Amino acid sequence: MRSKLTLAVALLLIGSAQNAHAVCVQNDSSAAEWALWNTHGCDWNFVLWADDVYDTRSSDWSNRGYYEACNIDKEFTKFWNAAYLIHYGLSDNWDWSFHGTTDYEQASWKYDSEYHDDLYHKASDDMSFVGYWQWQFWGANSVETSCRVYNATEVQGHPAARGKTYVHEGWHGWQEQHYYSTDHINGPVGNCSASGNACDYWYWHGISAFLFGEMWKWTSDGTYFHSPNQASVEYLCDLADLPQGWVPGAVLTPAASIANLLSDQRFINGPGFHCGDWRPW
Amino acid sequence: MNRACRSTSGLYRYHVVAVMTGALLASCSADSLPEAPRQQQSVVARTTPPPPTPTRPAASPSPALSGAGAQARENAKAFLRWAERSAFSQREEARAQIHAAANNPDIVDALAEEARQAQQVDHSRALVAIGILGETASPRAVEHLRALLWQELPTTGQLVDGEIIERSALEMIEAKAVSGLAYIKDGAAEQEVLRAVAEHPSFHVRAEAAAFYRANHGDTAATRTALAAHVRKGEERIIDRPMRLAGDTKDTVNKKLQDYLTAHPEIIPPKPVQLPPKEKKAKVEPPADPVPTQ
Repeated sequence: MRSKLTLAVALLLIGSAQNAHAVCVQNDSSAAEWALWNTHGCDWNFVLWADDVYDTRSSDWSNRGYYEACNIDKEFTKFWNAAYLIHYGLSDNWDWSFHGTTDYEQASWKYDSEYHDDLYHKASDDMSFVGYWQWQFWGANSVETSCRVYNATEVQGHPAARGKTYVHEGWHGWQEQHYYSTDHINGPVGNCSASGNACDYWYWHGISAFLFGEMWKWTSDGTYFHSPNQASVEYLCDLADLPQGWVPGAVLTPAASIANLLSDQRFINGPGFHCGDWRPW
Repeated sequence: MNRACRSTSGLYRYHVVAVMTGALLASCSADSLPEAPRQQQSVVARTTPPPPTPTRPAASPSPALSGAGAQARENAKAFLRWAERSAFSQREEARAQIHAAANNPDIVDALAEEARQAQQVDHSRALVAIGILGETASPRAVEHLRALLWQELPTTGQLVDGEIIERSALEMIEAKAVSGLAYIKDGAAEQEVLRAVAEHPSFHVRAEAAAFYRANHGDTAATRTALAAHVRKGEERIIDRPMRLAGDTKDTVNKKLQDYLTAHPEIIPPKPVQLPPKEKKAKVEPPADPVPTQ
């Protein structure tokens, strides 16, 4: 018993030490990050709003730019920059979009709804994952995003991939809310080439099959259903194909690229939907 | 990814035992059927964001994409920075500038060099540079895109969420390169695209090659027949999957999807397995927290 207590204390100390020495880069940002940032400068009303509706806590973000929230090289600023894209970046075209802004924001923000139970967002220095949703015994569940979606040199270190991660991890919350396993399926399997807990099914649905605001609905036979990886791809495709006119090219190009990569590699019954412009630029 | 749920069933047992209060959700196992098709209706969100700050698009006109030698290199770099910031609504303006530079070998070479350099330091910038290189539709771009397309994919590296991240990064670069080759559509470029469909070691790149070939040749039966001669056995779905193309409407895309599901019933996923309902945990308000500062 005592040895277990000692071990627990040691692990706690190790965890604390890791938090004190954040490894995510806090002095650089990608071209896509800058391009989006330049459209708004620093929208302070949005920062305060996003801090609330994403439940980002000073205890998790203070050494990641929480008190320098207009410095785009900082992790916290990148966090809300991606939220800005979710809330303002889509054109919500009923004749073309898979889903609307309201779906992706409800999947990603903190509020308890049909999309998920309460959640809050924090950052992690663990480079072994992009993001993860975690059930919490006490209080809101957590969504962690790692340096993989913040560092400029990372393949997903841009706002579109980061926003996708909020939606994806929030969708694990949907699974929990509606009593589906929050695990992926172990791969490689079928058309999914990823190894370990990373594969999903793609549940094809047509355009306008879901009202905006009703992405959370489903049928038990799977005719209407979303897996987390599918929610990722559909968000990215709605962004890449149907953005607001002001969204910069440096945001859209990697959005389509990551969507199509996931579509080809993450689905057991894939490939899933292909999106993006047919022109190279 | 959901690390906590690697031991989901165990956690749920604790969850049920440890619930403090809360009622069982009565509707948990019932279908929640979307009624399609329907008209759009407004949805009242829990909260709405404040009105956005007016956006600041990239300045117009774009920097000149012209010159020779070192000047071409500087101009290509400046144009690339502008293109990164340019808005979706400025896309045609950018395309016109890019096409005008198609016959300038120094510009084409400079764009290729920018792409190569960016690969190691900023993946999003590399994708933009390769896209612009392809958009030139210049025969001179073919050799550059071919070199980008056939870079050796790593077989070891950092495993993140089940994939070797260095490999995935390069696959996206190579997929972007093949989209440029498909757009150029001259004989050499076209052969490269078909070769990629058949021989590229990445399924993603093979699938992208097929998709862009279809898009650039008209998605007709003849195009699919031409592709079928190159597609690997077992990968035929990449020439059938529905795509949104120029001239499509919602109805034509939905029809394509129905046709695809009819032709490939093997892709219809199994019924999702629902777990037993459980009680919800008690609500706990987060502690008061300071707000961020600038």
